[in-house]
Amino acid sequence: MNIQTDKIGRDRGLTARMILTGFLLALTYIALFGLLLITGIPILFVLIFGVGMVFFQYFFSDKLVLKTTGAKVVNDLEEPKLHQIIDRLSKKAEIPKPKSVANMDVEVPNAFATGRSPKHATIAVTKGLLHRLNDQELEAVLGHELAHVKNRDVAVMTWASLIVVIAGYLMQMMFWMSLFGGFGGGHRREGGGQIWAMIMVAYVGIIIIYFVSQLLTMALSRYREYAADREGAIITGTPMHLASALRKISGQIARIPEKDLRQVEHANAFFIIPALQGRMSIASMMSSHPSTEERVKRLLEMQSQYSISNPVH
Amino acid sequence: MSLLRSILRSYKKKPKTPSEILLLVNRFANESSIEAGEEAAILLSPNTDQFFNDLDLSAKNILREISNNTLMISRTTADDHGTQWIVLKSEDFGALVKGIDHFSTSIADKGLGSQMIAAVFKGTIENKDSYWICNYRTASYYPFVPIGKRERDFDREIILSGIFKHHRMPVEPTENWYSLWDSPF
Repeated sequence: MNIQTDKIGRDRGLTARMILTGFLLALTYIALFGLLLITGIPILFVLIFGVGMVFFQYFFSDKLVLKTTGAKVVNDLEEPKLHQIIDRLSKKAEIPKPKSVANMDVEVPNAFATGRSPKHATIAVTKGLLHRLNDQELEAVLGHELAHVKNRDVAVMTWASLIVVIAGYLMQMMFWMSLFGGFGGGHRREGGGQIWAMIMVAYVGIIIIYFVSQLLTMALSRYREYAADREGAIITGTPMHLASALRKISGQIARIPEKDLRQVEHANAFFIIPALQGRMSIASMMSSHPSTEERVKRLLEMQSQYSISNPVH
Repeated sequence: MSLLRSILRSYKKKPKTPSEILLLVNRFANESSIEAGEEAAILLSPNTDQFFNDLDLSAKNILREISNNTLMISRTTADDHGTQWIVLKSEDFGALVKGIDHFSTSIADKGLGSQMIAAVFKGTIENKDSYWICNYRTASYYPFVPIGKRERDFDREIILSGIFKHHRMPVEPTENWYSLWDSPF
């Protein structure tokens, strides 16, 4: 076991939240299949479709992502530094080195990991990331991406989102059926009204399941991000470098002005605009990533734990 | 459970009045990583009104209206930018915030609302001095954490803004996080 993991320990709260989210997601599966059983929608057909979609995503998402992002696989002669860092960090993380390393000719600093398992993984970084981050920050970001690989997040999120795929498909199917009279409207006079009402119940139920499962999947995704931050910081041993990289990537620091408040604020009306921005709960709940502030806060807390464990003499 | 908390939070009543916004800083000061200071100030842009001729006297007159023995005027001062400060002091942070609110309302009632720039609270985050600035014009908060004479601790500012948001305080967009060097407190 990693010595540093012993010092930092597991984030039990995060693990508990992930388990709870997983349990709630399982409940949405049960609710969906219950609904399909009651309303007589053929489950087998839905399952074949959903599993087919997920199967495709599971086995081909890495190639698809590389194609759509324009990422180009690079060897160790083209990007020796990247390969060297990934090789070293993979050993520290006790996982095989990802199958390929790629870069994207994009100035926006970013990185991602894809692939269903460590053996099939690809780690891609943009040129903007290589330009803007120093070596320690780059290492921290690569540690985070390797943590995603180690935690098999692509596989976890693919399977977790199966219900969203199925419910979304059913929702669309029922919408088109409602437009073209597939809800048995023609039979309403012969008692078809009851069937119609049942299908409407199923329709509303599926919409609810779709949104709830979407929220849960997004929550799970955010928890996996926190877990990857934590695991990545444990791999590199320097949470503060990931915090610093996140700030640079998010562009927050670049936006902080240099001017003094007194230079810009003269003769302002008292509370002309009550800017009640507050916390955008719905937007944050629908986001796959947690806020940079929260991630930086957690990483700096980790850093202070390291400092306590390793006091400077 | 944070998911449930965030769902419930979205149904909580949002603050509407300037006073409510100002008083939100009380919630924030209860954070474990934060320690509220004993002083807070109102930053003013003076005009020709008599109020600014003898700021000390004007502030004392407002203080007399408040029946709170723990609140006092620490000092009134002008700075190099031509702005003026009324610095209040109280060992009780709740009383200090109420005092700032009362002074703000009182100054605005005198028709000087447009001369008010910000309410500035001081505290520490992880034992580092920090300012929690409530911009009167936008009625939103932002952090300012100076290091030395002209450097800022962006890490801690971002953490502070995260805590502001966590407590549903309106937060100024990052591009408006103007510095406040050489504060008199």
